[in-house]
Amino acid sequence: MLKFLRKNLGVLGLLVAAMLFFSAATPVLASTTADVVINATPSFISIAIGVPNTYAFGVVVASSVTNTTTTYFTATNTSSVSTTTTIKVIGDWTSGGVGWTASDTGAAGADTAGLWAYSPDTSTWAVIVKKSAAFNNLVTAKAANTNFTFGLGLLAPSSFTDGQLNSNTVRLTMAAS
Amino acid sequence: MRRILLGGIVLLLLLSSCNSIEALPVLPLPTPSVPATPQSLGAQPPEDKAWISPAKVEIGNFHLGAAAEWVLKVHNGKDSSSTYTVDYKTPNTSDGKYYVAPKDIVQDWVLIADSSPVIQGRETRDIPISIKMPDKLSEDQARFLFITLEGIKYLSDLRVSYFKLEYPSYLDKNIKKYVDKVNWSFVPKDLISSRTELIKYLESVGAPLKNFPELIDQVIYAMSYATQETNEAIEKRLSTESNTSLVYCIYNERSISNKALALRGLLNPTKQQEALTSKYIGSGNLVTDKWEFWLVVYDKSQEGLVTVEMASRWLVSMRA
Repeated sequence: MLKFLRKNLGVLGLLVAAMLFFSAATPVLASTTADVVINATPSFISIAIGVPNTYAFGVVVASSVTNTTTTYFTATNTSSVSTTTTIKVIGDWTSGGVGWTASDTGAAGADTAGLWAYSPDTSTWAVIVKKSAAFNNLVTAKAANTNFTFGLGLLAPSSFTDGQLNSNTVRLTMAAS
Repeated sequence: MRRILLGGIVLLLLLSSCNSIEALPVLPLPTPSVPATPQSLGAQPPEDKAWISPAKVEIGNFHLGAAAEWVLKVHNGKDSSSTYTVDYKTPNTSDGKYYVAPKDIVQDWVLIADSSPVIQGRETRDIPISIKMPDKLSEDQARFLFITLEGIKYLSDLRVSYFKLEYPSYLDKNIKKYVDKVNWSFVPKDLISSRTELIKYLESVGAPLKNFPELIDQVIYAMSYATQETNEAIEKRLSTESNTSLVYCIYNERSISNKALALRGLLNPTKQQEALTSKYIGSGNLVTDKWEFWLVVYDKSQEGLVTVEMASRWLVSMRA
């Protein structure tokens, strides 16, 4: 038996490969139904964050406010249509310790930090950067191919369980207005 | 023995191909009336920036059992390859025309041919996308399709808002059980001192909030200063409209802040805010037959505090 297998290894390999190839599950897309109308105006969405795209808020005191300049971040918008961009944090602040809860109200609490954005639309630090939907607009109905700047401000927790470094990620989502 | 083995391979290949037709990868071919890729993108997209196209896809005359397919283009503007993700996303906002489709229902209808493409530097990749509506909806799936705004009336210094629950004719008639009768005419002031109390009160009288969890998350409390005249008018309306279910929410317009929404307005916040400020009188329908979802594209190689994702809006209009 062993001799047989060694002698026909190549053929057996081909057999196994054929079985795997034809049994692999792949998505099958459905074609458009005859009476359904579908179209899309030629258009594209394009956004990129320039340098700098990060900021270290540093060592913060309880309930303190630390912020970038109002124009610290630059979003390069080369979209061909008017767009609205929302802003959020992807979750709570994480650290090697207990971490901070990301506040959806912008208010600080025990191990709870608020994050605010400066919007060029309103020229105010009024945009709460939430982790839960519905997210707030950073810029609304921005004209095509028009860059914009913004800032971020951290409202530190009112009390800390530990002194670990906390980090988070801010996400901008751009869609056609 | 070798001949037997080879014969077995051939037989296996034949049998596998017969049994696995559905598992074969199928790249959709463009149909004559539906080009898979646009002829031109209008303004030329940048070569050195990431972009997606189209920004919007519009699907019309959609119905049970129907399918629609389009190609989402994703361009990597970097010089090096990068892995992207293409995901279904619940729209963050509504433009007032299209209802935000519930993700737990609609996401299963959407098929993304490659949700994690590795795109080479300066390459534009075509990602086929299709959406197929089931031939029949379950009662739970149909819940977002049959909410119609009856209208608003302006009585004295109060605004009476109500919406009617009804179902399109193409749905299974069993959906009727979702239509609940609500027999309250006003919300007593002392019961709605907080949003939590309002929700409790509405649920206690059978308001169908449980069928629309997204409403519960967004309800803002309303204060009521109902007059006897208003109550009588509403009671009369409730007693004459036996074929529909009505939910009334009465509030004093002056006590509502700019962010406050009536129950009906939660389905369409932008429209409600316009109604509050324009003193709209008359009837109209919230769009129950138009809904949208998004497809977002994200470059996984991004680092730093601030990252970006790009969304393509897919707008669906149901057949009347």
